[in-house]
Amino acid sequence: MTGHRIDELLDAKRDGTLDSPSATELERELRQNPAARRRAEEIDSLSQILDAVADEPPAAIVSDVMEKISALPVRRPGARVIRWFPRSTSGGGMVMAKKVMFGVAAAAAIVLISVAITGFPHVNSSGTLGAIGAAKRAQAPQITASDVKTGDPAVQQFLQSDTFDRLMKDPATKKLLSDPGFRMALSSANIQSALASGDLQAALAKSDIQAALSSSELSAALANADIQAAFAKADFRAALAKADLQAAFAAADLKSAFAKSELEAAFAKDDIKAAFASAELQAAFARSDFQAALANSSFRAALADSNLAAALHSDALQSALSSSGFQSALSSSGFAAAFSRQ
Amino acid sequence: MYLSQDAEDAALVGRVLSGDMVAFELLVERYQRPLFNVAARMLGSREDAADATQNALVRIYENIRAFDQGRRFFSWSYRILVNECLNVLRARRVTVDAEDASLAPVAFEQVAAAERRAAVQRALMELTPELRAVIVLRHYGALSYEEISDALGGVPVKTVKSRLHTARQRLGRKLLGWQEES
Repeated sequence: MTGHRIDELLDAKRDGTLDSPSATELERELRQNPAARRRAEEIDSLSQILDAVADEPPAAIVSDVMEKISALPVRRPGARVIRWFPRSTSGGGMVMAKKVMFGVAAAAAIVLISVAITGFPHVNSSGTLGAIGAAKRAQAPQITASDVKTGDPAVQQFLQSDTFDRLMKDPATKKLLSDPGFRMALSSANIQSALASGDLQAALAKSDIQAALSSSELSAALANADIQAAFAKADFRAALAKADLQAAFAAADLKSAFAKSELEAAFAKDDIKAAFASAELQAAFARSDFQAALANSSFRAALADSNLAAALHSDALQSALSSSGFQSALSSSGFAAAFSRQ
Repeated sequence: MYLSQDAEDAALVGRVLSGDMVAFELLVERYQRPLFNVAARMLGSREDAADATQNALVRIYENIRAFDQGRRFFSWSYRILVNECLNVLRARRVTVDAEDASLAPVAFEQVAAAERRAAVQRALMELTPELRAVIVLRHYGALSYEEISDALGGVPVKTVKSRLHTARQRLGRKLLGWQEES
């Protein structure tokens, strides 16, 4: 047998493509032919040496590539293009169940602010959802209160509140809401559908929600790229349009949870922001059983409990919950199902 | 395993074609490491490898509509990467310093490992680009002979086998003291 042939058989074995006759041929050669055995050992040794120089790519490759692609001109007529936002890699995609809840709360807050400030969805004189010129609006340099075109009393009340005034003056919030990519994400049909919910708009009028929205920590969170990235995810947007999720946002005990100072402070934590970027969180939002859990009154009651909120804010507990085992548990459907049975 | 991965790739490519950039990000995350390693071994420079990998990934995105979904996504991707690397080598027109410090760890206790790494990279860079591409695609890309043929623009499989054997012999003699074949 030639050296070329033994190489070929060994490579096929490594690829898992060795057919039965060839496997028999290789076994016979290795058993009977010292040169074949030596060749197998040589190739194995060479592979080990080559393995030893394998490198990890620079951490920024993914984000650099995606930013370059985002800057490309649209080449396909009529293509729907959603701007890419960098996903955080801190914590290796860490998610924990309670952080998911914080994520839900922050998402709700963003939606509510978006309704108020960007005027999504526009409501015309007949009270029906109007279309929005997303591209035109995306080019607007800054958003002002005059951008809001809604006849909803709840939204109007929010616009007249001190909370809204503070938000309008907050540089982080203004920066986020004047970002073309963020506004383009808001122009998606799913987001607009979510924003058309009466429950969400009515929630604007609640004092406890407004108190939560006024926190500086939340404002800072709004400017975080991870949170912005969440809006670029199709699963996230689809989840926002689900009735169960909207019902959860509107529930009194969840809104009460918003108002707790512990939760507000938690919004400022990096790992919570990072949670928005994780695939697990996106998947969790999209699962119907998870959405059902959010609508479960006992789950929301637990969230609103002061002791739980305080405990969740502790670094020690958050560190413990960051373990890969917990993350795996979160990504299982059984985890969400357990919540929904409570 | 390959079939499952191919199906996932095909699904992600489909999402990319419908405008979902997140799907492309997932493809980038999946293949950045093997692509980067092929480029690093081809070019002998971590910095050049990062640039070539990025450029190749952008080109993959730009040309994804031309991707034949009857083929394997990653072997098609390697073809673009190899072309990018060959362009860099042509433009460079000089022999790369095989002891590029950027490819070697700097910790004191890893000096021996760094020397071995430098020796391997030097041996790779002493191969012709044709031989180097074959051994690198085979080892770091885990491509089959047919996929290597495809990635190299249709080089005959027989030639791939021959080049791979030759590349291994030269590396083995250089790095492991193999004897000349009789």
